Amino acid sequence: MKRRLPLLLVLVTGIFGALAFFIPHAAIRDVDVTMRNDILRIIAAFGLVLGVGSILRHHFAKIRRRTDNWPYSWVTVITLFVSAVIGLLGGIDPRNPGILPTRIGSFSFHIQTLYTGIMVPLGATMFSMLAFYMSSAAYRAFRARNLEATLLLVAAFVLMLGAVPLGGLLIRPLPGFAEWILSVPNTAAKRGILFGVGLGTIATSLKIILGIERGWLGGGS
Amino acid sequence: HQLPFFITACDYTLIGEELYAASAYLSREPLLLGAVKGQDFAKSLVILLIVLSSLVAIALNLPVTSWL
Repeated sequence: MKRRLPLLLVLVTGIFGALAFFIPHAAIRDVDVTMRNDILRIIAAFGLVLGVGSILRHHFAKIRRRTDNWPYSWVTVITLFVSAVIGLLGGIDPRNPGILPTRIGSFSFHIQTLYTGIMVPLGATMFSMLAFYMSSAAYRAFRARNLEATLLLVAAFVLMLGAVPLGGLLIRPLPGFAEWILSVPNTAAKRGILFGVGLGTIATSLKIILGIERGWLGGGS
Repeated sequence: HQLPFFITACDYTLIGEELYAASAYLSREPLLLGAVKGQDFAKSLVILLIVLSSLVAIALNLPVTSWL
């Protein structure tokens, strides 16, 4: 029963979820909307509790064992609790704050300030460093070993030069050509990859729904 | 969106359906091999349909050619 009930649930909900997409009847659509908007969100909330518990267990274990970079685990745990306290007690809408005050003078520290003041600059910093890292990695990695590698090298060179103003000054049609490479051959290749991924997802989903693939149940075979 | 970073930073990258093909190639499980074979068959069917539809659209001078 411990394995049959989850398999049965997956079978019924999987088939319903797939068929609801094709059946335009109002009753089916209502049930499908309720399942997506309400039931799945409640299950995701339980998953969030599981995720937070897992991350705390992992980082407390790192702190206890004093593994590599264990002080950063303290940073993770402390920021987790601080942002949770601010979000839960401080509230999101500054016009209706919770128990904690979310504004001191002109400074507000509700969740949105945490995001715009900390997450956004950190993300911008990381992507700025990645731009230089990618350029240096591309210089080291892209070698004209065969035809495909040569095409990749030429396309990367054209795109990088076409993206900066200097490229347009040196060769006038270069930015347009770089844009064409992105919008035509690159889009065609991306769509081909998406077709393959879509077919693979259909096959894997069918195997899970029909109970052929049972790895998600955990435990032994 | 992270794929360009993977390709430049890693020596070998599995893109999209190569993930499914790699697991079938390494484990040689009949179930996975059969799934890859079925996906390949479906992919060839899709390619055939796209080519035939494009030829028919061009032949019948349908308005879809304006975005080509």
